[in-house]
Order: sequence, then C-alpha cells, then structure tokens
Amino acid sequence: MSRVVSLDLGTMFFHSAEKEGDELKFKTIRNCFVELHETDDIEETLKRNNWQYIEDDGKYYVIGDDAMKVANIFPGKVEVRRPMSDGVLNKNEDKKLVVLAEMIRSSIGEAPDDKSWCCICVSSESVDGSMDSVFHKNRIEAMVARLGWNVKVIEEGHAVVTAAKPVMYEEGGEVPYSGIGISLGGGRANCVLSYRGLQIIGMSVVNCGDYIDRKVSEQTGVPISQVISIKEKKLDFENLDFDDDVIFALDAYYEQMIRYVFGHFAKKFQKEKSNFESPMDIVVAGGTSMPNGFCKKLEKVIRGLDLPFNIKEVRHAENPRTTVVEGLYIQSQLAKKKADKAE
Amino acid sequence: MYLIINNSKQELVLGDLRLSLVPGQKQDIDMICSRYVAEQSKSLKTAISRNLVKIIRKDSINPPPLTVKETHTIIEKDSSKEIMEEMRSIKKELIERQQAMARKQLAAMREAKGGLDPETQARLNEAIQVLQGLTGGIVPGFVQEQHEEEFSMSDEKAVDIHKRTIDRITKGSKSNIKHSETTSKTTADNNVDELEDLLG
Repeated sequence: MSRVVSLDLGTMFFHSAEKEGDELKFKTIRNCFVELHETDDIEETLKRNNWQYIEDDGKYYVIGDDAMKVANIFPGKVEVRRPMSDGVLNKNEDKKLVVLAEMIRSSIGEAPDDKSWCCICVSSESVDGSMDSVFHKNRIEAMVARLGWNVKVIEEGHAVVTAAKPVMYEEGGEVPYSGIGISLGGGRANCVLSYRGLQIIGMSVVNCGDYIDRKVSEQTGVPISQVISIKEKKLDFENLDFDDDVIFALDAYYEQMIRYVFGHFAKKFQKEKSNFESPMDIVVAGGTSMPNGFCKKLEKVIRGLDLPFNIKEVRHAENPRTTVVEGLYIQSQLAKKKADKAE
Repeated sequence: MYLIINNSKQELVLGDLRLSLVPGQKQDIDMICSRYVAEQSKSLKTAISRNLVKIIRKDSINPPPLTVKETHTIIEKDSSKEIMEEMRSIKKELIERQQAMARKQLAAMREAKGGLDPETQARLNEAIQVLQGLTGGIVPGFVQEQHEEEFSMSDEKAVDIHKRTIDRITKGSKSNIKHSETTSKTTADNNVDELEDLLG
C-alpha cells in the first residue's frame, strides 16, 4: 500500500511525519553527531549505553541527543558536529551525507511502491548574500528519491501557510491560505507570502536562532551552550529580567532579528511590486519563536515599522516546532492526489 | 563652463540633474547636461540659494560678438593655469572613484564565487566602460574574464547524479537510530480538501 510522508531537515532538528489513524505521527531527532575515538570495545560501549549511532568505514558516530550526552561526558575531547549549517548542507562537514542519509532511511524507510510520496522543503531565495539552496535541494531530493519516493519540494514558509492557514480579510470575505508564513529556525528565517494557497513571494535570511546565540555569547562572554540553555529555560518576553545580561542581550538581538527579517521582506515585497491592500494574518512557527511572549513582541515591533502591507493579526502556529513538517505532509497528500488523478 | 562646488558638509544630491556631490567636490555642469536643463533645475537653484552650492565659474552660453582681440583674451583665460589645474583635479578624482568602484566589485566577485546578479553586472560593465574611456582602454588591476560557455542541466539529471554520489558515499554504512515519537490530532485532511478546492 502506498505511503505519504514528509521530511523537515532543519539545522537543529530533523522531523518527519506520517498519518496514523486520525493522528499525525511525528518522528524527531536532534540534527548533530560526534565521532567516537576507536577503542577495542567501542561497539559494546554503544550497545551498553543504548546510544544511537552510525557506523561508516570502520568509524562510529553517535547521533542525536545521545551526541550531546557524549559531548557532556567528554568535555573538550569530542566535538559536536552538524550536518547542516545556516539552513543548508554544512560545506565544512565531510560526513554530512552519510549522517543525513542514515537519518532519512531510519525515519521514512524505503517507499513500498512507485506511487508513494514524500514532500520536503528548502529555504526560500536568500536576500542577504547567504548561500542559496540549489545544491542543497538537489542533494536532499536525491537522498529521498534513492529510497524510491516521489519527491515534492516546496519552500519552508509556504509549509507554514499550508498548515496554519492564515487569512486575508477582503471586502467579499475571508480568503484562506492567504497571508504571511514565517519559520524561524536555527539556521535561517524563512518568510513567504501566499494567496489562495499559492506562493507569491518568498525570501530567507541567515540572521536567526544561531546568529542570536552567537551575538549574545560574544557580547556577554557567556558560552553559547549556556546562552542556549538560558534562552530555552528562562527567556520570557512578558517578564524580562533586565538585571540579567544574557536576558537583556537576548531581548535586544531578538528585536534586531525581527527588524532585519521584516526590513528585508518589505524590500522584497516592493521589489516584486506586489499590491495587497487587504489586511492579512502573519503566522509564526519554528524553534526560535518558542520563548513565551515572542509573538506579542514581534507584533509590537512590526507595528512600529513602515511596512508596504497591512497586518490584521500576528499569531503563533498551534505546534510551532512541527508546523513545517505538518504543512509538508499536507502538500505531500496533495501531490499524491494530483498524481493519482492524472493516471 | 558652469563650474560649481559642494559648499556644505554633507553629500548633496541634485535629483533633477541626477548628480551627487561629496563635500568639496567640484563639477562642471555643462559636462553633464545642457545649460537650458541646468538653468531649469529646481534642486540646483535651491542649493545655490541656501548657499549649499557655490558657483566657481559660469561662462555665458551666448557671448556677445567678440573682436579678435577679445577672443584672444578669453582663450588666454580658459587655458590659464588655474582652470587647467581644476580640470586635472576633477579628472583625477573621477578616475580614482571609478577605479575604486571596479576594485570593490572585483573583490566582491572573487568573494561571492557564484558571480554577480545581472543588475550589479550591468553597473560594473558601465563603470568599466567609463573607466576605460578615461584611461584609454586600460583598467589597472583588471583582467577581463572570458565568458564561460552557458551550461544548464535539468533538475532530474542533477538529482540522478546526486543519487549515484550518495549511493557511493553511503555504501557499507549501517545505523542504529531511534527517533523520538509524538502524535497529535491533525486537520491535515481538511486542509487537503480545502486546498484542492482552492487550487482546482
């Protein structure tokens, strides 16, 4: 029986989705790994600790959250490596393809037939001089296609629109799947304007989660790992502790990131000579949008900007971490239905 | 000659003449537009009235009939040391600016590796042409690149090549990976139906 699945290869996390009964089943793994030094009992160590690993060419790589555990057990002795960087394949990592190929195989497996579909996403066109996604797209598409899947590729922001259904408020009534979808990930911020389910404009910039962590670390002298921990556990935009340097810096760089993203999006909007006068929703997803009160902050900042479009409501997607992969799953279903009809 | 100087401390833009002047920069307006256009320019008039621009020299465009003697006098004045000096200084400044632009663009090209976008490429070509005009066809430090033959490949073929590469690289690798699993109620089916209706 044919299957329909989706994959979201993020810089920080790797998600896949497939329907199971009335529910959507998500599989998640942290997109990182460490290389283990060769010892005689390496395989036994891996099995005893029940660590997830990949073996390639006689070398062992611990992956996912287990990689973080290993890094904490041997601080300074092993390096946490990432297959992706800034939203695309990490050009400085020679094991990226092996690791990603095994992650993909273990999450979706091989297609049962030639009518099975998998939808993946890539970043929209980069507007700040960061790397484009052409090579990344072909590599990832090939990694999925080699397992027998029919592959559909869309832009990340459009997946947010597909799942979270923003609305444009026209005189004749509400127009669904029309508005701005934003995915704020570790590597990039992706922004797409869609109308009636069709993507109109898309762009991406690199100043997002990793950038904020790096800048805050530089400015405060606090290691990045601690900045990330404070960001995930303590940052609350509705109750900021300005005596805490890291919190203060996080607030400042989040604001800068919002201005940067919307400044570029406004330019792109004007460049494309788009003309949407009706107010529209903005839906926000992605791990970088997780701190409490983020959407209110975003709304406050962008209402103070001179934007070439009107905003009705800014809202958080229901499940910000899995919105993209859910949108991809919906697009995968659409692709299969279309292909089946065509036959 | 209609020679002006930016007398202010800021860069000055004379929009209707498409001219920008950095502080202290001189420009012969007759070199960029007709005298009629210059006389009609509101931005120039405003700049002069606000003392942002100072007129250094303004020749008459319809001089009265001259006697041989008078003509002689004017020619002597035009070729005076002072004017020639001004012209040389303007020329030098222009050359330096164009060379700096070309160097900057070249550096950006080398850094980007992927090449320039068409708009920037067109601007660079314009700048190079102006520079070549000024320097007699030679741009220091610039070697014209040979255009590589256009090469395009279908996505399908590219993906096929990538497939073979990945198969080769991952040959023999094995894994023991368990993904953390969660489930959630979804409106995916509704979304699919709605989008099918919308997209037709």
